[in-house]
Amino acid sequence: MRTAAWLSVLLWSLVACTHDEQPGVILVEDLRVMGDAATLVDGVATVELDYTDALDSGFVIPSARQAPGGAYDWSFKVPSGTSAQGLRYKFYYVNTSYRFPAMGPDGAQHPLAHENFYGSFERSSEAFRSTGPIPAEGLEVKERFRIHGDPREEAEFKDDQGRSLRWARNPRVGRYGFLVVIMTEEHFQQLELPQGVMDISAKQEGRFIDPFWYWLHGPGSTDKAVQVIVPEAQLQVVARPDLGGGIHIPSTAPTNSAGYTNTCGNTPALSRTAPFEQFIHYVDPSTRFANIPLIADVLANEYTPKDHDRYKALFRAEDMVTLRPMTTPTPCATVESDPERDRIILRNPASRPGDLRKENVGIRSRHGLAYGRYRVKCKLTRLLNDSDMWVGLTNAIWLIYDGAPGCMRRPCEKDGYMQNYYGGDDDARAPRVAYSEIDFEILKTPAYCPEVSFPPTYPQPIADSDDRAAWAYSTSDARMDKPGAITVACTNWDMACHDPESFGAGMPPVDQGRQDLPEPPLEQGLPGGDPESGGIGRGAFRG
Amino acid sequence: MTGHHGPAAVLILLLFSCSAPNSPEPAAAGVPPVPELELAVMVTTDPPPFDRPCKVRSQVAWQRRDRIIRPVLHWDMEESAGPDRLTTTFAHSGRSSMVMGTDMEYGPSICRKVNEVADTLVAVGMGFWMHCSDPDPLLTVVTTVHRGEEQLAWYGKDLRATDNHPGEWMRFNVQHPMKEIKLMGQDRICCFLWNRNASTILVDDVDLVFLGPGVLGKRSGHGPDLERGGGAAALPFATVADVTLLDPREQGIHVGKEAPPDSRHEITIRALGGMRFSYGPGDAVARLSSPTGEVRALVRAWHPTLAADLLDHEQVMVMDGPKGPIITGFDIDVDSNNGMRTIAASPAPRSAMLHLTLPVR
Repeated sequence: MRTAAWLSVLLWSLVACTHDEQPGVILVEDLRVMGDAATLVDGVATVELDYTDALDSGFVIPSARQAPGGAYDWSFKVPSGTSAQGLRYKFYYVNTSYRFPAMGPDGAQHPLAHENFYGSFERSSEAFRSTGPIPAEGLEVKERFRIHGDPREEAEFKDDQGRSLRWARNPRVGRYGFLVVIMTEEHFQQLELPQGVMDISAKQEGRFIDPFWYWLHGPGSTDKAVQVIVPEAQLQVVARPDLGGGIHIPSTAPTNSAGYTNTCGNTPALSRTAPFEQFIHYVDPSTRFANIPLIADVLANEYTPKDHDRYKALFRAEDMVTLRPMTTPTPCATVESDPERDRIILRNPASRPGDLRKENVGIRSRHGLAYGRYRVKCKLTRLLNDSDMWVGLTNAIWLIYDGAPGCMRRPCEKDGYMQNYYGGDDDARAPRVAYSEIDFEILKTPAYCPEVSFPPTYPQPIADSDDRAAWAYSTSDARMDKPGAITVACTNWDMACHDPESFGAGMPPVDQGRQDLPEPPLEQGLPGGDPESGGIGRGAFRG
Repeated sequence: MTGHHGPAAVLILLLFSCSAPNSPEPAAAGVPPVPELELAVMVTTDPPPFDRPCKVRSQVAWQRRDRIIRPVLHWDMEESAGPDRLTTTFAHSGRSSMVMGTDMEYGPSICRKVNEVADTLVAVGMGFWMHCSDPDPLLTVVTTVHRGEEQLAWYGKDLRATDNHPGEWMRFNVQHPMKEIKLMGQDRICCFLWNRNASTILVDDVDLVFLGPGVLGKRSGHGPDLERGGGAAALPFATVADVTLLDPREQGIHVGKEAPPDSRHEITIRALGGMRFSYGPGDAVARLSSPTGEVRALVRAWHPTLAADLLDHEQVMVMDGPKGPIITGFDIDVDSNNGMRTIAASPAPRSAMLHLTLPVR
């Protein structure tokens, strides 16, 4: 794969500038995380997610293609005479770009901190490791770590045979920080650490204990006999799916293979490695549109809004043809993965005489990520012709749930979620649902907001050819959209949970005081870390 | 389907009664006079200043048996038999607007019987431009439904303070669906503005529309279902291989002259081996039939240079030409005094000969 070749030149050798979080005992020195400082930029190493084998196993950072043995080094030195019986130590990582503060306003663990993406040793139940007795001349401890999905190995992310589905809770993109906790063997034996601290997969009183709260803000932060170190080295994780890496055709697609190519189809190789699949839209069988059966080149100005008004009003009902939006009968015929130019091409097929159709065309990524700043670069077809007639295409980017087990929305406290995607006012309510969808769509339509001006007061059309004013509503000054203007819309399928503050329709003005994305109440990096490392919208995803 | 702006000719025809928004300054003595057409109003019994809706939109109608349905009303607030409610202080268009002062909590109510405005009423829409200096005028647009003395329903949409733009002209649109009520023809629908804060509110260019489920007056029916199959096949369109532009005057069509009577045209096209070309008033497209009467194709009289459909006129005349049908389209002006129908200057008459080829079957 393209990425594998040049990712291998990335060296994750970070200097381990560190600082201790609280004054107290100094047990170790020269803590290094990810090797030397030679290639670091401002203390941050950057790595791209390796998609090669990530479909079943989830992303692993680093992969075997990115670092020897598929792991990063970390080490520390124990000076002579530190402790005869040796030391106990534990290593943690956490995604700092997308996390809740570890500590709540009352000093206790933040009620949502358990959602943070943190991990420790690969076997989640492993507690503190031991150095063993320290030789007289001291000791250098060399360890390795990697970041992987489902680091707490939670029950809800397992299949029916008890196997961990790490892809169901993939590592988040963005910045990662680290934490090392060290104490003497004697102190370790005296301490009665909670099980949820010893074992990150264990719950205490029904919830996980965030080690970054426990050791930096909670009971562990006041223990002077414990050395708590936050390395200044950080890791930036970026996802860049390879657009030339192929498109897989899922088994739910039509079986016609006439359109298959080397980079689009259902071969075992594409099934294993392709980062995208052709998206076959669900079309409600009851959806039917009566269409004017005219074929005209809209972008060549062969069809105008006035034409559409007139045909809509005066075209005989029995001459209209009824059909619903379609999906492709020939997979790969309308989607193409181009490895030469690293791109994907989507083509919406035109109607032809005898083959009148409206088709949905799309692709979907095959690897789910919960957070990130997504950047999609697309060249779009013109949407309007010279007379402001829309070609009918809606360009859309959807962030949509991937069906992973265990990925449920946070409980809706007030009145629950609508249980079904198409649920109406009478739909049953559920405290938790899995469905999630945020859409960005580019089309020609009246603005839905502000609510005060929607919907426009279009005249009622009348089938009267003798009076142009009876049917020519497109030229009505009741129209609120401007000639040449298109709409860029965002829809959050919130499943009607009323929990959010100021829940409502539309987009009220938000005074951010600056030209940037809204900042959610997420923690701005680890204490002592780079303040640029935290918060949604700060370089989390470089696509 | 969203609406779209059309060519300038149509814009002029429909927009003459609504000029561009004025800046919110008092109208000076030297303001341009309102065009004469803007004063073309209808007379109704609605309370002033809603007693003079603009003809150009409000008179569109559909006759269903013994009743006339007028689903659209538009007021430009330039004329009323009771002008006390009009002010020239600010206007969104023209010279004047309606004022709701501190003395008016409830605006004049516009009422219609259901069978006067719709065949099947599914929603009532109201839209207007408003200007108010109050940051939170507590304005509500109200629609009520009455059966005899009983009020069946009350709908309201409030202007939220967060949506208000004090001191600016802003558009307020409302749509009240009627789906919850089984309406009867004699039920009355009333719309009015409720000025709950007794603010001074200026209102201009008001639209009131009574919306049905589709196009009013269009015959119901179903064409072929391409997925389910069965029934007749979809009719293809004939290809317009070439168009020869002609002078409408050569076809006897002169602007300002009396228009010929409108009628159905059915002619034999020699260039198409005796195929029949038919077009009737109210049709969107023409039809090509075999000599035995079998409809073979639809015809869209599209002219690529004009970027227009020649059938897009209020009246059409068809004759046989050496290469195919000669189509001449023109609009009609009707003299309201004597009912005389003359050929309109705008949009200008157009004429062309179409060279048609039949689709391959």
